[in-house]
Amino acid sequence: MVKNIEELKKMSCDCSKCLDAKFTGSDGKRHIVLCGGTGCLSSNSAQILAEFEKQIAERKLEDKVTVNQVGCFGFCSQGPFVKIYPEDTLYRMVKIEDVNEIIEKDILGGEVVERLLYIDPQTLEKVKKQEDITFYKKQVRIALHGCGSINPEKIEESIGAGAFQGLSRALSMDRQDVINEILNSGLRGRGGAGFPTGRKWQFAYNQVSDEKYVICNGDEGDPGAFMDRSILEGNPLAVIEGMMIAGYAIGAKDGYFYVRAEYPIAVKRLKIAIKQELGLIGDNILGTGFSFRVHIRLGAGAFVCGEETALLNSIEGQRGNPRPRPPFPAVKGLWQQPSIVNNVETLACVSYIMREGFEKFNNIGTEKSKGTKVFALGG
Amino acid sequence: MSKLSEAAVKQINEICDRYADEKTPLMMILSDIQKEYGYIPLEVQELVSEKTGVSVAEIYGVVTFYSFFSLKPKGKYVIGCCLGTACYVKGAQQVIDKFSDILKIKPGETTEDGLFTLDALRCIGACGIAPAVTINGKVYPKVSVDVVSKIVDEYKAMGGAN
Repeated sequence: MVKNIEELKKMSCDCSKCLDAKFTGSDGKRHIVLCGGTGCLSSNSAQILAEFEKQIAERKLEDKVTVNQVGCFGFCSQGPFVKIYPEDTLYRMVKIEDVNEIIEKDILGGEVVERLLYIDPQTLEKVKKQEDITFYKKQVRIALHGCGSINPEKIEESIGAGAFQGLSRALSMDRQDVINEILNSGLRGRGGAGFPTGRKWQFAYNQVSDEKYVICNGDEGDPGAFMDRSILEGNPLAVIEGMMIAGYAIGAKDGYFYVRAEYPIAVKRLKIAIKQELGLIGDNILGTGFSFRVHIRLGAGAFVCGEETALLNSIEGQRGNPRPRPPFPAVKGLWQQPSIVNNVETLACVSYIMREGFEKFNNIGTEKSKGTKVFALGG
Repeated sequence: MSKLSEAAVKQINEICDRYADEKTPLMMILSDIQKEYGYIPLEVQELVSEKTGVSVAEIYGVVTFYSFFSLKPKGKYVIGCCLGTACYVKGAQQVIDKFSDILKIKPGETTEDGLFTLDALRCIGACGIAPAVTINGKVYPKVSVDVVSKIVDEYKAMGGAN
């Protein structure tokens, strides 16, 4: 149990040391990570992971090598990916048959398995490190923080990557100041309409009610879009944290994730993240008196439920018919109470803004729309 | 009500009780019934109505609104072909047509032996590996018309209907 902000600081520090040791190899070990997003899992990354585990056990290398699953690398067409730390070697389109060679040649022999490296389509040169691949070179990962580098099913790794630091900062601030921070960041909703997030929060904050709700819209259904899936699969705690910050700011005690049933891995990892037994979700969080419960509701294959008022009806156990507006959800939302509905990517940005400060977010982007935007490429 | 077996009644009751603490849990109850009981016929809706106090008319409205809920039993293996834009341009229509030809059923139908149901899905967000097919949750990447019969044979070999 993490009882107060001091204990969280200590835990963050310990966890981030562990995570750094993984990336830098300062613990004297080699670390193998595999992509565990939907794309790579469909190309057998789970079986490849099991094969690594088996061969490492057979060769009694457990003290020298670890193997772990991480979230989406974001380059699904080249999956499944295997990455070796600390060298940062990235192998792509790996098959089960390749496991033996990777262990023999790379892990034991210290040599790169050239044939599994990414080939730049323009220069036709082999690229060894992820950061040197043109596709990744200009990426700044804010909403996708931690995706592809931490194990989304291990809360310690999320905490090592900064989870709950934004919340802990928010809890030490006045609620209105938290909203001001989001207003100053220039963050606009990432679900499509681009409404200023801080203003939405302000409307709900201004409503007087004992019961308010934060809803995360995870019903990403536009064809070709899988930004939210990648975030939920890669670092679910960042989204939960964003939801909790929103809850604190507007005065809500309950948050609802509405996730489409077509995203089973995202749902599974969200459930694991919510079940963590550190006392960071629930009553009297970090001893501050702030309580917040997180619930999950699944869609059932209706495209329209991504529209916020249809989504509210669906949570209420009804057909997903949109409601006329006004009243807007900030006035009469879930169960007729003041509610905010924020998109997955928006909430992931919120935890970053509260952790790093609004200026860092505000420095990126266009004049009227600040921060980063995740794009999905397919086909 | 007479059509439901004692075991079925017990199962549905148990599912309803799971969410006794939740506000408006109808969607959760129906999702679990669909997953565990396989379908949501009228008799089951009547029982859910008794347990939750929601009218059968409303429950029927909800069941028929959402494409994941079904009034008829689904096959042991549910084949879902993504027909989202990315998959569609990569030939998903031909893939689902091929499944349809081989299984001799249209999308939405179940084979007579109860082994397969064929569904058309909206975008499942696996566009990087289009066209994608899911079978009972397992995702098959970059499915071409040529491998369809092999996939069907694999499942046929794996086992008979419930």
